Amino acid sequence: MSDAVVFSIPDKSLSYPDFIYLDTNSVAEIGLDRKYKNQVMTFMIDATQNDTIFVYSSHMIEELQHTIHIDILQKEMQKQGFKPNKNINKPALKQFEDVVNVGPKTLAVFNDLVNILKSSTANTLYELEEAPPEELRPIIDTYISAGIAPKDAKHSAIMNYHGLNNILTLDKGFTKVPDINIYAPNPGLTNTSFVGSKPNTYTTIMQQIKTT
Amino acid sequence: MNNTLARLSKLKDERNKILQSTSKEQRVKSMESLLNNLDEYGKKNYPFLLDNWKGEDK
Repeated sequence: MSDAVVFSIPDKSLSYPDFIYLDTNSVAEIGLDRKYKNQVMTFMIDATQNDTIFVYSSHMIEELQHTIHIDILQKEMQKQGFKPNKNINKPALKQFEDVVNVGPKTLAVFNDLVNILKSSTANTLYELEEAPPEELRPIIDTYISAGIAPKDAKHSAIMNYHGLNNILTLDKGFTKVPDINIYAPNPGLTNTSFVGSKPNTYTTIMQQIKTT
Repeated sequence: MNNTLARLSKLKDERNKILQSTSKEQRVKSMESLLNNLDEYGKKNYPFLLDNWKGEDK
C-alpha cells in the first residue's frame, strides 16, 4: 500500500491515464464559476488530446444538487433578510429551510447543469454503472475506518469498485486514500508532501487491507 | 479481484469504442463545447464565488 500521489495541473509533460474520475468539485469549479476553472478546463482538454476518458458517478450528480440547493438557500436567506430564532437550537439555514421552499428553483438550476453534462457525454464523459449497494457499502466503510470523510469515502469506493485510481479533485481529503493518483490545480494539494512524479498502480481494497 | 478486473475490462472496451468511433479532433471539440457550456452556465448562475463551497484548501 502506498501514499496518494498528487500531480499539479495543468502540465503538458504529464503522463495521462486512460481514465480519470471527476470529483464533484472539479465540475463545480467550472459550472459554479470558481477560482481554478481555467486550470481545470485546460487540463481536461489536454487530457482529452491524450485519449483520457473522464468518468463520473451518480454520487457526483447528487453532490452537485446538494451544493446548488445550499447555495440557493443561502442567497434567498440573505435576500429576504431572514433572522433566525436564537432560542431554537438549529442552524440558521436549517430554520430558513423549514419556512421556505426553494425546491423548484434548485431543480431548475440543477436540471440545466445535468442537461449540459448529459448532452455532451457521447464522446467526452462516461457515466459509470451503479455499484450494488451491498457490494459498495463494505468498501465505503473500510475507507471511513481509515479516516476518510464519508462523502469522499463513497467516491473512493466507487472508483475502487470499478478498478480506477485516478481522480481530478481540489479536495485535500483524498490524500488519505491509499494508492490513489490525484490531479489538482490548487496549492492546498500541490504544495503537500504527496506531490510526486510516478503514479501509483491500482490495488483493490482487499489488497490495501492485507498490506496495512 | 476478478470481478473488478472484469468491470475495468468492460470500461476499457467502452473507451476503445469511443476512441475508434471518433477522431481526436472530434473528442477535443466535444470537450471544448462541454466546458464552454459549463462556463456559460457558471457565469449565468454564479456570478460570484460561493462561500459555502470553496474549491481551494478544503
